[in-house]
Amino acid sequence: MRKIKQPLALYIHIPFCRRKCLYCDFLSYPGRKEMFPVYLKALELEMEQYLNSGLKVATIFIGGGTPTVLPAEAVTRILEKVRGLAEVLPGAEITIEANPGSVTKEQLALFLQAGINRLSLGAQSGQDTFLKALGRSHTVKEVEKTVVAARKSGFTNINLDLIYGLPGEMLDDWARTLKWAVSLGPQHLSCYGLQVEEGTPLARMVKEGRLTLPDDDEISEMFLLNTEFLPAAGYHQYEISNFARGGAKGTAMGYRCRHNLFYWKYRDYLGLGPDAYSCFSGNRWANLRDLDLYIKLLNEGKLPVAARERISKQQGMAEFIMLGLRLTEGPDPVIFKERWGKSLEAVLGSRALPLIDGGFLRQEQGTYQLTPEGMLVSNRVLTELLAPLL
Amino acid sequence: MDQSRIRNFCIIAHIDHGKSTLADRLLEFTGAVSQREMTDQLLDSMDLERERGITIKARSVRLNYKAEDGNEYILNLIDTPGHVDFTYEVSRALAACEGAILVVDAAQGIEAQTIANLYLAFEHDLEIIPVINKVDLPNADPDRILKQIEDIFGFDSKDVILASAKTGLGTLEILEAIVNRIPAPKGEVDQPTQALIFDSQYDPYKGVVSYVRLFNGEITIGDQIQMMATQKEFEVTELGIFRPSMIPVERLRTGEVGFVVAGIKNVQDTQVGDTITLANNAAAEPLPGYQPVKPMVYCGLYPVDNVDYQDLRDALERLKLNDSSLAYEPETSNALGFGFRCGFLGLLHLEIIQERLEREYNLNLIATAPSVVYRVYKTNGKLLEVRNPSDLPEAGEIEKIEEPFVKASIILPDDYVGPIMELCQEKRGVYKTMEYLAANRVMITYELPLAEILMDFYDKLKSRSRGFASLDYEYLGYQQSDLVKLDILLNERPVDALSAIVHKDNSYYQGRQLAKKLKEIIPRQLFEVPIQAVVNNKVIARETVKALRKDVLAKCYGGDISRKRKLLEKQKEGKKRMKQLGTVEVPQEAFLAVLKIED
Repeated sequence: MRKIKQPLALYIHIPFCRRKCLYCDFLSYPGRKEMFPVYLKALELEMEQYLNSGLKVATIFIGGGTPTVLPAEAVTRILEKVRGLAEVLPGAEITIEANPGSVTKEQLALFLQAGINRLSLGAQSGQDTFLKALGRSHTVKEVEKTVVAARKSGFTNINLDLIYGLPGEMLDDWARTLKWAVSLGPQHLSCYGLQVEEGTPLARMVKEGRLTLPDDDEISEMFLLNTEFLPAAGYHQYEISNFARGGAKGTAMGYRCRHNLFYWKYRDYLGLGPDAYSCFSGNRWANLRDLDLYIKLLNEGKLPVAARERISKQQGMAEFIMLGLRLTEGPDPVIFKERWGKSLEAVLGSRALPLIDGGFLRQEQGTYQLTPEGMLVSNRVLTELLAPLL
Repeated sequence: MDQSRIRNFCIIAHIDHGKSTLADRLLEFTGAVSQREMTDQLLDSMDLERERGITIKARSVRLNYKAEDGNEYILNLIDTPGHVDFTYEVSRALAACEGAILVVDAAQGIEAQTIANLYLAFEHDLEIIPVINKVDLPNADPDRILKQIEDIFGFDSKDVILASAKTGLGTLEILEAIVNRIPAPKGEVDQPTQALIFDSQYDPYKGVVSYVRLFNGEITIGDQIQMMATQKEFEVTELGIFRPSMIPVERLRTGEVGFVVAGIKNVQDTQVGDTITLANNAAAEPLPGYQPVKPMVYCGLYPVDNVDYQDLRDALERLKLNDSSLAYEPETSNALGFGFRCGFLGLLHLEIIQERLEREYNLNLIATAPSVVYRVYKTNGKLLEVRNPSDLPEAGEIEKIEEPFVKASIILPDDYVGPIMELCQEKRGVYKTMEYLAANRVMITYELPLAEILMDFYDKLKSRSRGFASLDYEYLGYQQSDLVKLDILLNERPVDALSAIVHKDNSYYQGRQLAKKLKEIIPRQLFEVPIQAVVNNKVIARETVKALRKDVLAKCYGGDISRKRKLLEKQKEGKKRMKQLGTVEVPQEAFLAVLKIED
């Protein structure tokens, strides 16, 4: 245990949505509204287990599922409960995820009142045909309307989630989506390559040949377009899939998502709700991936934990580098040395060299950074780099 | 037991024609094992034997049978290995018998292997009892097969027994035929001892257990015995018979089959085919037919991870204890590091050893493509035996090269004669004979380079005849061929373990195909991998494995970290199964790519 408690990030999972998207493998139950009160009660019980006045909360992220299927009052109560138990730092970033088209003006206003200052919208694509193909329930128009409404309500930090590499999508289609997204003027863009997760309807459709995905070359071009087009449009790439505008006074931090930076900088976070993950003081645990069991255990006064692991020094070093390299600035060499007692260079040096020569990696200010080409094959680069630690 | 009441016999059959099942029935009928103890294919005790449905080691079992004449008989069943790789071992097992049951499948009819082994049996003057098996199956056609047996071998149809080893039909008739038709062993118990070793087995407690058939004299516990080929002497500590478990006896006498234990540490000292005699009253001559074993096929075996070298050496040493036909010597490869060049009787033998090393000794191995032994006559007058293609001298130093040839006999329905002759032609075969064995059934013989049979001849034979052709071959000797070395370069560096010796006329084609096949096998990696095929310093084919384009997790948040790390760990495990050649990662199967060249 570290003596002085560092601030932590708090994630709260809302495992409900209106209907499942074809690609989604998050724990989320469509409908089941009758479960809302019981779930919220269980969530409070879990908060009581972990949160205390000694904890400083730097960021809160309410994700899902679709958290906005809950009435705004329920969200308010969740945040009040957090504030009642722990110290939420002044200026804390508090994000909620929302689906365009289903979030109302009234909800938006109440969210702001409750202290939520960042809205993350699952826009996904700028073309209705692709939205339909993904099984999304909203349209492009509704995204546009929601962004306008959110801004009008007073949100000054809006993120759009986008997915590229969709079935039938070509580079031009994606370029159009990017242009469209930028034209809406969000502060932040997350651009994810579509991942076909096992067990999803999408995986089945691809396997059965009912859908064809763009090939790796096409998807790589889309990724490279992100790294060129978005910075030119004022969105700085700070992580493989994440782009943010600079701050009001051009500060480096700007509109980067402070919550997610906790993951990539390997800082402590607590995850509440079923299938949420926590990493705290060198321990990691995962909550049960089952809503009913989660509720049952908490009501019995037990922790709803499915698996725990103690992170060894070797594993910690590997994970620190693995996550840090997702950031364009690379893993922080000073913190690395502080935490593990060795310099990054001492750990990686000889293994990094061929990767630098190959154009996948750069050595910069005592740390290492992936080039855009390196990001595209980052799994392989990491396997090469971290082999002795894995 | 009276020598006149002993019958020694074996069973000759093609794979899957029911040899092991028939043996099971005989054991069961004579009460050697109760029904409760029966596991299918009792005599095939190695897992591998049961899985592949073939017998690798010879074995024997003594059955007590009360015949219809009211007398008790001892029937010794000697089970023979069932593969062309083990022809010599089969011939030694046949030599230990006076008779043989010839099993022919009632639907499949006579196959090449059946004929080859039957001719071997004729050579040993064995009394043959023909049995048509599986007559109960719906597709059985016993009349047609009966006609085949009459036509091809000249058996009288009234001597042929119809049986179903599965249901037990015909078992009694077979047992009576063994008693009545197979002669009792000859030989004199007061003559100097001659016992034929037809197999041996290493036992960690007893040492080597030799399986023997006594032709003259006797062996008693305490006797000083001599191996006539190796001249080594040992004292007998244990004697016994197989029922099928090992039952100790005091003495083995003329005509009997059993085992001898004599504190022998090394199977090399009990060569199959050698004769055991007594040191103080030695026979004048050994029994005929002994040949020292000679591997026909070589390949390199290398640990994927060089730290396993010592484990591989230990494992080979242990396998060798039980298998005197396995040869190995240390070898170094620029590409693969330290390993062994191993010699085998044939491809099946090679596969079995490789599989046992991986399965029983948990070794992660790279096998290079099998090669025959080439005789290279150099311009300086020296003769070189080349077992590894990368050892072939520069073209300028070579006067001529010879390679081993075999006489291949192929039996097939006449519809497929065209495509199979075409195949033999492609494989550099020289046509010899063709004869009709029965209506629609043909035997063709070709002289073929053994190297071609090692490649993919058998697979192609099967696919082009839709499974109907069967193959047997015998070794002929060396003949001159126009051969060249085909080298492969990965990322501009030669990989010695991928070199092959090929016929000059085929070298361009094979080079192109090999490069293409390697391109399929080598996965995309961070860097592009150029592949070149080279003959006589000339690049004849070029392919490129393009660099990997994309391998990235789009999202990595709190819940993804363990998953991502596991993904990296899995990739690392995957790398372990690859051989790192410079910056190139090469999967194990790449080293066998030359065997998988397509037409």
